Amino acid sequence: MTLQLEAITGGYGDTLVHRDLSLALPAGQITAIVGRNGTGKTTLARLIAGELPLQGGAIRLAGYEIGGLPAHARARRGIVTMPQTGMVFDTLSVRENLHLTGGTPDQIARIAQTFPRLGERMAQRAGSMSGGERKILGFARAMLGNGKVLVLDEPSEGVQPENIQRMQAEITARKAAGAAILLLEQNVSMIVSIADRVHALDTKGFTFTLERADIAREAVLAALEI
Amino acid sequence: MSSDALVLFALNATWQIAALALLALGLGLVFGLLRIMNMAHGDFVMLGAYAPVLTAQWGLPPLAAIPVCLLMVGLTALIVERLVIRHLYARMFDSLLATWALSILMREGAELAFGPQFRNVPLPFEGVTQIGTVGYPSYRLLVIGLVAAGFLALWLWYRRSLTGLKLRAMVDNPTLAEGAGINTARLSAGAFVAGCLLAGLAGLLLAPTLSVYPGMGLDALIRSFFTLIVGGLGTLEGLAVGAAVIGGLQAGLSAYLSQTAGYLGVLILAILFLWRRPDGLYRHR
Repeated sequence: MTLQLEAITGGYGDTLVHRDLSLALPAGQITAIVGRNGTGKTTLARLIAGELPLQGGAIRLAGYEIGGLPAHARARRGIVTMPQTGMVFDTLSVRENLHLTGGTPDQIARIAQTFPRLGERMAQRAGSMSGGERKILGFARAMLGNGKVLVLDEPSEGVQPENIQRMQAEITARKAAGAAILLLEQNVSMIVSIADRVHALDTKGFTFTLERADIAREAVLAALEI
Repeated sequence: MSSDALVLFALNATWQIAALALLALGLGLVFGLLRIMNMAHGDFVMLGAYAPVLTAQWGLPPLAAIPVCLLMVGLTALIVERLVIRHLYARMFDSLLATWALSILMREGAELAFGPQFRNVPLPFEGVTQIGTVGYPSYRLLVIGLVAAGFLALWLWYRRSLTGLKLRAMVDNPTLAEGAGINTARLSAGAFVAGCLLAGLAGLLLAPTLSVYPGMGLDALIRSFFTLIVGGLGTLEGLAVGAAVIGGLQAGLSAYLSQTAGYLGVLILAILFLWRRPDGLYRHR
C-alpha cells in the first residue's frame, strides 16, 4: 500500500519540527531519508506512527486518511514502526516480544532461523541482551505480522555486518511482497545497497532527491554534508 | 502452648493473611498496572460490603449479593474512570488528590444513601468445620480457599494469557505497546475497573467479619496500603509477602498480647519500612 504524507506539520507541542512536509512512500519501494542528527527523522517516524499528534496536513494510506487515528489503530491498519530507541519490551522474553506483533509460530520460527542469535535466546529477557541484539529483535518484530508500511528508524545501529546483510535481505523480501518501506539510516552502504529513492532532509525540509540510478556512495555522503 | 492452641493460632494467622491479601489486591493491581494510588480503594470495598445489606433489605437470597456487588461497583468504577481517572494516567500526584476527593464523595454519598448507622452482615451460612479437635468457622475456611485459588489463577493468567501479555507490555513500554496495535486506553480502563471490582468483592466476602458503615473504607485503605508498603509496590508476589508479614505479625501480637498491640506493631512496622526500605521486601523489577 502507498503511504502519502500531504503537507504535514507537527512536532513537540509549540516546538514544530516539520512544517508542510510532503512525501510519498510508494508500495513495493524502499524510500530512504538521510540527514544529519536533529533534522527530524525520528520526529517524522513518530508522526507517521501516531505517537505525536498531527498539527496540520494529512496522512493517507491507500487514499484513506489515517492522520487522526490513534497509534494502535494505525498499527492495526498495517503501519509498523521500529523506533530508534525502546524498540523492544525489556521485561518480556524474546519469544513474547515476537508473539506480541502478531507473528504466527511459523513466522517466529522462520525469523529465529534467519537470526540465530534470537533463536538461541527465545526464553531470555529482552532487556538482558546487548544493544545490537535488541536492535535485531526490534527489527524482527517489525518484520513479523503483515505490515503494509514499514518505518525503520536506524535499524542497523550497533549491529554486526553479517546481521546487517540479513536485515537487507529481509527488507528486500518485504519490498518484493509489496510493502512500502521507509528507511531512516546513517549507514550509507545499506542505503546504497537497497534504497530505490533517497531524500535529503535538513531543518527546513527536503533539499533534493536521488533516484535509484543516481544513488552512489559519494552522492549520499554529499547529502549528509548539507 | 497446647497443640490445639497452636492449630487455632495457625488458622487465625492464615485467615488474617488471606483477608489482608484479598483487601489489598485491588489497590496493588491498580498501582502496579497504572501507577495510580487509588485513595478511593477502601470506598469501593465499602460499596461492595453494602451489597449483602441491600439484598437482605430487598428480601433477595444471599447469593444475589454477588451480582448486586459487581453491578454497583462496576458501574461506579466505569463512570469514575471515564470522568476522572482517564485524564490522570501518568500523573501520579494529581491522581492521588483526585481519588482522595472521590473517596470523600463516595463516603458522603454512602451516608446519604444508606444512612450513618453500623450494619451487621450475617454469615451467608453458619457452620463449623472440625480440623482435628479444633472447630473453625467454615465460612472463613471458604474465604481462605477462594483467596489462595484466586491468587494462583490471577498469577497464571497474568503470566500465560494474551491479555496478561498485553498488560505486561503496556506496563513495560506504553508507546511500543500502542505501536503493536494494543489499545492502551481501553486496557487501562479495564485494569482500573477490574481493580475496583476486586475491591468490591473483598468488601462483599469480608462484610460478615467487619462492621459495615460509610466510613469503613479508610481502615481498609490503610491496611491495604501497609501491606503494599511492606511487600513492595507493584507485584503480586510482593503483595502476598506483605500480607504474610503484616497478617502474621498482627495475628501473633494479638494472640500473645492484645488486639491493640497487634495494631501498634503493624503501624510501627509500616513506619520502619517507609523510613528504611521504601521499596518493600520485593523490589519492583
